[in-house]
Amino acid sequence: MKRKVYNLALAAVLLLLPACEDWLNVDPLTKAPSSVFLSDPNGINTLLANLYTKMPMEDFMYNPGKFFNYHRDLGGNAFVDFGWSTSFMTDESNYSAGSGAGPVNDNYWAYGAVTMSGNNNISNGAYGSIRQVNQFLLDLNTANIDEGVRKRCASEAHFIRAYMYFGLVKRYGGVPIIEVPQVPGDNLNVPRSTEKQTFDFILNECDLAIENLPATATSNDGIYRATKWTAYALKSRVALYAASIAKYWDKAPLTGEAVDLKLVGGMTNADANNYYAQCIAASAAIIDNSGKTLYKPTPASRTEAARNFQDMFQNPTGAMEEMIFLKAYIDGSTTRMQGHSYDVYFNPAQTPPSYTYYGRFCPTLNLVDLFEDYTDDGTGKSVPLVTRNDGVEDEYIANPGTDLDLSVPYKLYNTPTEIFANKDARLFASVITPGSAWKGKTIVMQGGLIRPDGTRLVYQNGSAVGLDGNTYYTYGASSSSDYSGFAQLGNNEQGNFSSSGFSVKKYLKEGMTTITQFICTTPYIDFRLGEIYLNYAEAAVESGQGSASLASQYLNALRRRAGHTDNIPATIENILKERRVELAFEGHRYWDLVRRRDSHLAFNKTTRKALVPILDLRENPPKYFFVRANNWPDNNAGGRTFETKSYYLPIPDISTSGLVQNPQY
Amino acid sequence: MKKTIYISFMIACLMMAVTSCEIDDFPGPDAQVFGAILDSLDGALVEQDIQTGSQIEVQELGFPTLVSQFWVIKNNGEYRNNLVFSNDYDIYMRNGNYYPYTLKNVTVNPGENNIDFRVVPYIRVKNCNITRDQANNRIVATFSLEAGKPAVKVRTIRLYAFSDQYVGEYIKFATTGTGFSQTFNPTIQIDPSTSYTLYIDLAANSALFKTGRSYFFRVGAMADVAGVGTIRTNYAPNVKISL
Repeated sequence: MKRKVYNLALAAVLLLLPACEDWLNVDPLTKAPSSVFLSDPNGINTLLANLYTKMPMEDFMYNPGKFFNYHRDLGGNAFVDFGWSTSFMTDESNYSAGSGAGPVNDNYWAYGAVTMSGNNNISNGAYGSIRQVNQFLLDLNTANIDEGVRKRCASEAHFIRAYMYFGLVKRYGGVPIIEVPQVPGDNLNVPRSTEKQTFDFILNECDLAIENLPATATSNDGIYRATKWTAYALKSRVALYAASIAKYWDKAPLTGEAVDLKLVGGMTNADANNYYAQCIAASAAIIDNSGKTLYKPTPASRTEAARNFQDMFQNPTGAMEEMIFLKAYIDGSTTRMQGHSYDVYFNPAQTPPSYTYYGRFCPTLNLVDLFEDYTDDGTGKSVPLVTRNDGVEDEYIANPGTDLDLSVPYKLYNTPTEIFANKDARLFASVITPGSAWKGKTIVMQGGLIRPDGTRLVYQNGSAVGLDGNTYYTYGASSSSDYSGFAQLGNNEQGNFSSSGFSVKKYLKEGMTTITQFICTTPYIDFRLGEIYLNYAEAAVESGQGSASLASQYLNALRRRAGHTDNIPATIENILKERRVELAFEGHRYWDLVRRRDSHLAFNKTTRKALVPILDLRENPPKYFFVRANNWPDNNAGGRTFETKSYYLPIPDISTSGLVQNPQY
Repeated sequence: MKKTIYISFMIACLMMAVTSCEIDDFPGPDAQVFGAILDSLDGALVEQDIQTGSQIEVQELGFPTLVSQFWVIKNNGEYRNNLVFSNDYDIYMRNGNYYPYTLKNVTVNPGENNIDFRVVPYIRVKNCNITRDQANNRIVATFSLEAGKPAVKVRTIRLYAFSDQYVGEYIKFATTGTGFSQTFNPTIQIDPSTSYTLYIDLAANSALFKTGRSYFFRVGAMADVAGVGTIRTNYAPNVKISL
């Protein structure tokens, strides 16, 4: 027994003796220290590319209910994770099967703390990513590289860090600002800065980025890298955002400790004017000095205008004169976890992909009504689509399936397209309208028909014989592969058919025939000159700074590109409307509503609107009329609401970090 | 030897089993708090929204990071929370339909606690009368408004309708037509002598209102007050009408 004890003691001593030896500290073979990367230009590019992927960009692979760069392995019911857009949480579109009014729920702050099965896990939450930028900036100081490269890389890192903090501030308000990688022994509980300090920090980061970024990104460097103008564009966007919060905070005021400490809100009119001035200066720098111009600014006809505008989004790299910053994709069918699926989920049902889910993107009637008519009165006030003979265009019925009233003097049209005659070219470039041509097919959107005896067949499958002896179908055709709208309401197939009467066209590639998951490589446009024009105009008109005549010039240049030949006054209403029309579905609307504190007004038990074409068989030949209605999913949900507290998201895990929580959480 | 190992193993298992099933040492919630939101002027209940309405924000003291809890208030202005830990609390009456204020170090004792809150509502909806106008097939509401303090202006008034008693700003039918609400832009001073009339046209909303069923109606007014945070709607009590 005694010997056993001795043996044990000996074993323990033998084990412990070498435990502290250096030769046991082996560098991991699967990782390389940053010094290895930083001594080689390709290594630096690898590090930078990694930082670029961590930018919180709301591109085609952003899912506002999940995360950025969100890919999930196929299998199971993974389809709902793709094909989302912040646009679905606004009044410009809805998800075919229904979508709420926000807020975004991507957990940007703390993502990665929770393991999500099947996700690619290439993305960290904000602070994980910011730490990597901070480390990169620190390592650059000691790297043995050319001074010019060092400066450019540092500016690129500042741009990326500005972008990340902007992703934080628009979700959470003021946040802790961490500029160096924290090490053990540091105070890890860094308190939140005020919202103003956070915006000022971001704008300063933009300045540091502008300092040493090149004016052009050559194809040698990669045309998708940030330039000086990208940093100016980010500054323009951030400054306009900050100015709007400062000016419009009172539309949805909040109270609580976070407000008392100015962690959210607390900005003055002077701050608003300062930020508007910064927006104007940054925008003017791009417009005056970058050499960027609008893509094909003076089309000869409306048809040409529509084609140009559509082309710009099908092939952004063919319109580099307008593009400021793009995100590229490589084919995900050959390289795992790459590519996007925009053309998979958003093609209408008549041109489906090789996949079970499509037809998800439904532009609303709210947006379609905003497009100008070329015969408008010159004030810029858009005339809504004419559906009735009595001039009443602000009545919407809740459910056309049950509530359709035939005593209403609906205007009859010979074709489903006539109602859109004379509408702004951008409507036809951005939206697939009923009866329009798409990929060689006529897209059919029809909600029902009126039988010759006046009985209704709306929102339910069926057919009827017209006065001409032909058979007509509820949704416009007998086979579900020959129509694109309104079918299967309340059924799980509903998502494949538009619930608004429209389908998206912007960014869809019309020439693409074989479409499978992750095969799409159309670049995402993050910044383009069109936005900068509108940023300038809004800042100038809101603040009275800058040049009012330039504001008007930029506003009308965009309209001229869309085939308008008149000029409208640069009022704030016209500029905001132009923004919705020009930048529709490009990811702006959600944040425009938030920054101007309009979300809670736009969504207060609100139903977005649909245009429901109905075939009237009492006429011979049959004619169409159009019913203004609540979109089916919103109506079913009793309307959508955005709460005022949702202008800021809750700070996660404050019991550990000791941070002050946002109001009303 | 085998026996020793077996016995040690069994003892270890038993020890783990015995200790693992014990609930933690912390006592559960031992207090109940109830009361009402009362108008400081006349002690009348201040009507609320049950969903997304005014809430009682409390922070339990004694922790390094104070975390807010929110107690929901019933539509009629009463509240009850039966799962509260007895302790000292800071209570924040804010983001509601009354002037905000703070109560520091409120002691909640074990057992029942009655805490009423006397508040100054932004707006009082007075003399409210909701009836059915058979001739015009309308639900008609007449009422007047009274400001809680002279600075209060009114932004919107609306006659809300829904199929149950929780009718209000967040639980309502999306009625169509005109006459059921009025928005003042710019907002206006409140004159208690002004009588307002709002109505819901039942014919225009036939999809929402079915004959033979009962519906609940309530008049609400949204105030415009500077520097108080989120403002919620003030109401008169609801009225049930059978169609």
